[in-house]
Amino acid sequence: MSRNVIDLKVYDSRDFPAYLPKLSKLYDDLFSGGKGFRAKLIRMMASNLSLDGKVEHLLAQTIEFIHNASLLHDDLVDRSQLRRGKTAAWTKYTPEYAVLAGDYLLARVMVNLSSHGNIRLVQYTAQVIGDLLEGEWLQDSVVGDFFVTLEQLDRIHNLKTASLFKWCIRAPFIAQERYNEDLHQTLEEMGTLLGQLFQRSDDLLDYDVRNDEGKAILGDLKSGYLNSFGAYLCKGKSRQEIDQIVKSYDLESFYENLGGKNEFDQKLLEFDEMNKNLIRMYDHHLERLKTHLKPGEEKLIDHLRPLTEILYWRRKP
Amino acid sequence: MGDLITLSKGSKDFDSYLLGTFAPDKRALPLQTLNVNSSAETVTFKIVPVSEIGRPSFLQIGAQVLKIRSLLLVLVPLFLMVTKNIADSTLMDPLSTMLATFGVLLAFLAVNVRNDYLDHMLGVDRVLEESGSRAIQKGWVTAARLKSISSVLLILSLLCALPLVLTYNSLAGVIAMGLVIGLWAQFKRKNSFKYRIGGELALFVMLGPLLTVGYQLAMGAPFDGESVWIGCVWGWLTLFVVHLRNFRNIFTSSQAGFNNTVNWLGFDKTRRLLAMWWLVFLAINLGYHLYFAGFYWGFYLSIVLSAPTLMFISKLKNISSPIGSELYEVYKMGTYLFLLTIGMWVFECVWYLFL
Repeated sequence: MSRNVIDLKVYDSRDFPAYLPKLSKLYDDLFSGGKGFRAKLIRMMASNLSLDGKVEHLLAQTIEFIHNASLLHDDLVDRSQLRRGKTAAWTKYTPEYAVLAGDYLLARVMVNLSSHGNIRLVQYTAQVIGDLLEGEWLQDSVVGDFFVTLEQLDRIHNLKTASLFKWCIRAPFIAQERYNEDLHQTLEEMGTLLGQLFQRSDDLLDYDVRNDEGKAILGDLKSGYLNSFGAYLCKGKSRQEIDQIVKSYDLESFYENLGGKNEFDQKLLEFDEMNKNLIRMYDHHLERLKTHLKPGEEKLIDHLRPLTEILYWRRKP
Repeated sequence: MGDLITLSKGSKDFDSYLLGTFAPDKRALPLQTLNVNSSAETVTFKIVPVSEIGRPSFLQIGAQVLKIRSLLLVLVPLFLMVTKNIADSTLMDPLSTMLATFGVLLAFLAVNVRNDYLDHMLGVDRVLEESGSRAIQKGWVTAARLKSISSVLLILSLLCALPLVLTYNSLAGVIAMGLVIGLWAQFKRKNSFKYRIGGELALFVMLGPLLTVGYQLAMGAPFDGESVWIGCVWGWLTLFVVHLRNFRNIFTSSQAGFNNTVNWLGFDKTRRLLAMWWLVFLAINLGYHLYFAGFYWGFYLSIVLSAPTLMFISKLKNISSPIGSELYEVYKMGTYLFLLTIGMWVFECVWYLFL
């Protein structure tokens, strides 16, 4: 299969046993939504690195399977009723089926990758799945903790969110058996920064900042989870003030408890400024990446550069 | 944001950027580290002109670099030993006592500063973001300068020790043992010795019995069992604080591969360890008072500490995350117990001396 005819439809019900009740229906629901951003990232990496079409498909499928498995588990852990505007799998099909369906996807990832034969890719993928689980575990352990700090949340997000971004940009190089240590460290740093920026931007949606997707307002806070922007806003506040802030029932009362809309806007400016430094750091690592690319691969830099705009500022590509 | 540069451990410039010797008018402030504690470590530095670095007063920098607050760890056992010898009328040589006090303080400051330097070179301070004085990270001082300050302080402390050893020959063995442990710590290049199980034992010996017995001999007083007891009680209490701090950092230090008792035991067992460690401390403190001091003081101390002890154990029992704010609350409560104990001891000593 040549790479220019590759179809990035990563899920096909025929790849899974038809005799298992509800499995196909559950996966149909699961894979029918979502932007497939990670698969697109793989496609972009693959096209710039001239990756074989089959490998590109394998990688795109792998990342989407892992991501969707994590969503199945995540919704159950968080007791979220909705996923992509539809009833979450654990409520529609029972929690047991949701867990098993997630596990099945992860098992399929391992089968597919080991068939490909690159043991380093299998090893790295297993490590990323481990990181995801650790992140999920840790995140659950801080639910209801409204005094958690941004630094502590960053550590969780590095495991939970950034690990998949790191995989997307490292796996194509590993698949090509390019194992240079400095190259992978550079990619690791970039993935960490992308994950952090994406998570912070996603957390801003909760406060209706750049919320073009129409995400539920104060959803995290009402679920007992103080996200990264919430932690930033609460930094330096007394326990009594934080207690008051987290009891806010809507955005207006949130502004009021925080000290006014102006205070909120000022903090948002500072938060953005802090994240601009992360973007500068990402650009710095992009320059490092240049030195590891082969002739003809330079366009990868041009494609990776706008990712921070898309992920943090939520600008359309 | 200033210029950024990323260097890996294999780079020839790596050490000079960490040491701060790469340019006289610039500082390299570490921003991001990967694979710390391994040969594949990379550090991204922000390069900032020295003139752009905001500095507090010289005194503030000095207090922070020398970590004056941590002097409590040696001042308390020294105070206990002086009180004991005054009360027993065995303080024979006030001059040598003053010299020994000065020497111990200088040696402790030297170790403190050296510790900051080593933590920076080994990457420990980049993993544990609240460790050390943070003076290097803020650009107030270079690692190379800290190394020099530490060496000067160490030489001064050895100069203090010299006349003491000549006067009290038995002190030589104690100082030699301290130097051996210090050298071992210095040459444990792969990992800061504090973050090893053996390092914890070394800390117990150095801040505990070795310190109290050495100080006892330096005062011209004879070796006795009580000095060893005081040293053991203090060493045990010091390790309580060390375990408490390691527990607070369990997530980050485990990820970085540090081997200490807390990481070895894991989150759940460490909760039990801390509770047991504190209860054993209460028992040996009571035992000490039973054999060597006023039993009533041991009794009163235990009564006063019992309520906060219950609160501490309750907080330990309820903690559910290795990363959230509950962990900090446990740390604060444990530190409060530590400080309360010291306060009670000081009160007890004043009572022995003046009442």
